[in-house]
Amino acid sequence: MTIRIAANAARVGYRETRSQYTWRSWLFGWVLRLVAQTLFFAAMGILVGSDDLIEFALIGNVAAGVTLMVLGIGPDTAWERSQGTLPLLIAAPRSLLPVFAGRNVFHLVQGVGEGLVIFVLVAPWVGVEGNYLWLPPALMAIALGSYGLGLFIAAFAIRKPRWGNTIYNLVYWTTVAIGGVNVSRTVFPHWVQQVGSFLPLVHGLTGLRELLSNGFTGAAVGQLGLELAVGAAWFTVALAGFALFSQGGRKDGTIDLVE
Amino acid sequence: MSRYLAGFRMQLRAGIRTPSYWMTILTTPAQTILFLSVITAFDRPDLTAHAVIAPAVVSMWGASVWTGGAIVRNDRWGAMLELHAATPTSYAVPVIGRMSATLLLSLAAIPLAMATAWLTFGLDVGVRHPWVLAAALVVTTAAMVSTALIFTSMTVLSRAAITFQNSASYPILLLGGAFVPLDLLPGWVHPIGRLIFLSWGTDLVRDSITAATVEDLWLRLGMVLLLGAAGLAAGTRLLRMVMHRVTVTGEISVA
Repeated sequence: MTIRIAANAARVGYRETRSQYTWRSWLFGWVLRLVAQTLFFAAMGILVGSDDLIEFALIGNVAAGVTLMVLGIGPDTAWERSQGTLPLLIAAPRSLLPVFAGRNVFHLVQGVGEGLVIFVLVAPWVGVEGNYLWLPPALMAIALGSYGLGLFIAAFAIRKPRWGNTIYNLVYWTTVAIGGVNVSRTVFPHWVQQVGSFLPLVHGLTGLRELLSNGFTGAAVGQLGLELAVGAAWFTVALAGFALFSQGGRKDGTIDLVE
Repeated sequence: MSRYLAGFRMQLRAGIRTPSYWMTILTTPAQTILFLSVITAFDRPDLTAHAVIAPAVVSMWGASVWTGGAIVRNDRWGAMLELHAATPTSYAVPVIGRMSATLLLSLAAIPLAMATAWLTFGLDVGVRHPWVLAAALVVTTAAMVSTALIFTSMTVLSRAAITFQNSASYPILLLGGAFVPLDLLPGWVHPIGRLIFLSWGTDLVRDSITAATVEDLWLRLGMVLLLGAAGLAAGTRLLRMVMHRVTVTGEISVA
């Protein structure tokens, strides 16, 4: 039953995303923005006079684009509350998680797909080299790693819908700032690097860079494994968050009330 | 003028109390750390002004584009678009008033970025020409409000236009030289970038902080104002056309 709920929710999520875009608005709107965002940060290499930084930031921002899309499930879920469908979901006997997890699963596919499109569009301009066949599986690991934190933001945003977008942006930019996207993490103090280890993208991106330079190595597999572990940990916390919200809401009748 | 001021006052209160309007400004410290980490890794303290101005500009432009779209979305949900369409004055006036208030609040991103630089990397930004900086910020902020109106008009046309609203951010920031000055980008983009007010504005803001003398001050201020005025004319006209269209087709609340 749980799988059927998640599958139906996934179908709704896919259709919902399709209805938001035409191919023109997707390509000349959203993809154009992601390409410009990647170039904006890659261009930092021009300013500091380093071709290596251009390539480093290009890979980092392609991967960060996946996290941007997947963490977006947080504020998207908060909209559920404003649309008035939440009391019906709370009244249903099953957990909220398969509904929201299924509904948002297309973000993973979209994030990875868009990451690859951005890479294909931008890489020829930069002239990068490496084992790029490893890009799709590594981006999928980053998407899965980010999914848990995205769901955790969703569990928070559904309690505080007015904060959804703000928390999403704060978490995303903190991850990008300290996560080794544009520059090696070694520039930061040890304790900042430690904090970063608990965020998604960080290990996945390290694994991706290792795969691109040295191919399939134990170090790369280890980092991608850590990325999935971080995702699983946040997923567990999100699970508890959704359970607390639905139980609390049923008990005190505040589900449909503004925070 | 009274509709402009009414919109301005209302948004000033809403902007202070509504978390979603703080979104762009609250990301300023993280983005400042991002840019500073790059110049620190490459041992380029001479680029501190670039690293401090960039996150502030990203926040301010983000605030103007986001607020424009949010105003229309909220008006649509609150069934107020119909009332705006029925009034004899342009919808652009209260929208510009509200966006001006948000941009005024978003100017706080500049001291916030400077404070972040000092607290995290111990970097101090001394301003060589404070009056030039003030003038450059005033005209650039006004041009941001004016130009963002173009993207706001698209949000009236269709709720799916949020995609285009999103797309307004980084292409403008890249060609507007928010971090990397336009002159350092490939030559073929220069003519396009110089048609964007931000490329003149960011160069002037950086020069006001670091340059010994600011050359062609009046010309550069004038270009920001001129391109901002062009954005205002285009945005106002587009918004009028779009409001007329959705009113005539009866799609004003369902577009």
